[in-house]
Amino acid sequence: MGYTVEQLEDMLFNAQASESIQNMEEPAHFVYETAISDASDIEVTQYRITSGDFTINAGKRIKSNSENKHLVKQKYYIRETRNGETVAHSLQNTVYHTGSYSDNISNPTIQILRTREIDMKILKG
Amino acid sequence: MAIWYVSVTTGNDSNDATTIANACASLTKAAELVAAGGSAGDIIYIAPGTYRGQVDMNGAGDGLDGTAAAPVKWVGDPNSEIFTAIEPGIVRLTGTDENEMPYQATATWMVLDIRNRDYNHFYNLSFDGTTYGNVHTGYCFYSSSDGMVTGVSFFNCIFQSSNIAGRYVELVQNCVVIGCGYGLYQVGTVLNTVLIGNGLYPLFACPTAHNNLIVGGAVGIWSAGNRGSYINNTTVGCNIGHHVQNTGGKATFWNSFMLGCNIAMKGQANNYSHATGSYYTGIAKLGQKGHHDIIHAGGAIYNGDTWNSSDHENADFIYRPAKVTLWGYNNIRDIARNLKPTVLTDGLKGIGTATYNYADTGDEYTTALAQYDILGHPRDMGEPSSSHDKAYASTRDAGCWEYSNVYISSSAAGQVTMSIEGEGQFAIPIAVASGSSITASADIKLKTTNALASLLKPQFILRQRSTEPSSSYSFIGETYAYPSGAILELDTATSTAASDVYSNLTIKAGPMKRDTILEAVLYSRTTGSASTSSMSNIVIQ
Repeated sequence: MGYTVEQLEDMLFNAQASESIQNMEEPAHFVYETAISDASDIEVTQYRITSGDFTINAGKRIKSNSENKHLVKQKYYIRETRNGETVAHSLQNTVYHTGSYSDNISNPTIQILRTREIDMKILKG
Repeated sequence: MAIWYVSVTTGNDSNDATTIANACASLTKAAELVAAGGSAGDIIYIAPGTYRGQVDMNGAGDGLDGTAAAPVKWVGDPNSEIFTAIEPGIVRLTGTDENEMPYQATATWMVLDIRNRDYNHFYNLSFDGTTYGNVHTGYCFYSSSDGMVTGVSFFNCIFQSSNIAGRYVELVQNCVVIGCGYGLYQVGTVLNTVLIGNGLYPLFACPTAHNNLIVGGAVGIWSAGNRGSYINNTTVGCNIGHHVQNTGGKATFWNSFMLGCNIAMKGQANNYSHATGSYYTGIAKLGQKGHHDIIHAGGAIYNGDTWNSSDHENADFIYRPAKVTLWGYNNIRDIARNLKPTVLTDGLKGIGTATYNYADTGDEYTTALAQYDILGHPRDMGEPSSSHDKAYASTRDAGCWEYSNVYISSSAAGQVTMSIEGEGQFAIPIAVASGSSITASADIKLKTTNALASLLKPQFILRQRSTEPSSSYSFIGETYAYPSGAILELDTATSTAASDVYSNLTIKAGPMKRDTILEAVLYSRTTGSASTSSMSNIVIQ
């Protein structure tokens, strides 16, 4: 038995919609982080590390005893230079290390992926 | 309330960002500084330039919360109204690297991480560059799942060339979303926004959307919940114009104008789509599961059986023909003209013919390339290669547009005369210093044997160059404000002479408020090879 064009369109649409909704679920590590962030007993430790003239945000530790969750965020940067002189560190990515509340997770450290010269071009329009 | 300053081209992250001279260079550093020393209501001014990488404002210590009465405002300054010593231009936040390649995300990644932040507003910013990788991984902005009510908002911003423009914020207003896989996903309210060429769902699960223009996409407006409110939207060229997903959902699509969609309205079982006052044309099927007062004007195949299927309420359904819609030639030309992208590359010209390979056999074939582009400009094309990719020498145009539209036809005895056959433009860029005025004059004529064409005499126009900075919100002290730039045509003069007789036309502007580049444009408004506009004896002073 064949399908009508309308039935086929419906099937395609429903499959597409189902896949989209499934793919758009919030990433598990984001949900994990939000659970800690929303906890009333959240503990936060920032790791700002001085390197030369710069204080760099290496990452953060957040944990919650009530949620029994523990997250350390390790940040990765690109060193930005202007005429060869370092002027900034642009964040490229953040890696999540998770565990239970009492787990021992290493402190984040300054992570520089590479150096690049700042693009001085200013786009118009 | 404090003011903070960020400038990628002049700042330094060892600065405290409290003055223009001491601006920091990165937005992530600015967020840290504001988190440490700021308060609700603070304003962070951002200078023109390209800010690469991710901006992390997520969670405690990485940003500052505002309040409903005093949001934290991140204000791009494309017209250099604050950073007066910096060249005006786009305030660009991008995931691309220095070669304009998008960030290669293997997991969810966003240019702006605004999760767990309340009441931060963003103005006049351009976001791009997360198109690489899985279609669901790259965002321009991403907030928390509660972000639809926590006051994170965008005004007068552009989101482009990304997997997904953004997710989970309260308000997007007066913005543009172009060239993304998804457009705006779960944004609380979308107002006065233009969404063009966003492949799957331009507006996905946004409960309120008013006064928006949506061009292209699988489903123009996808309503995911009950009581969705969609009023005064225009939806063009989607497979499905409006869709209500949830079973039993109710969505209001009042005063919709829909053009050229396959199915106008669609929904899951037992939902209701109220389309009172809507006007649909060029629709293949009016759709399913909707009711109320559709005004329908031609070009559609109405499937009454589908519409009236027994399992949906439709007692109030009114379907009635209406007058046709019409577009003028110039409106249509403007659509084509304005969809021309700005391509981030240098060489764009080629010539003659191109050799391609058949996909199935690999055999070569050579074909002559189009002589004229979609706007009628002479089009020289060459070997096919990507004009977007700097890894290759680019020798062709993109799509149906010609990127070189300036031609001089002849010169004699030191005097240049140029001509345009048919409709077209010839533009002369003119640099004007701050405080100076500009006057340009030229002899201009139209030669035609077409009496009707002679009614459209050529014009001499002084206008801002299309590469001049975008307009910005000059919002200080205002909840809602107004574009401060965007005056394109400064002066216009139209020929009144008879056919083939020169008339001297003068256009002028100034004094200019800043160093700028204008264009003196000969605009030939006639069409066809029997009509030619010419310009000679050009004087600019």
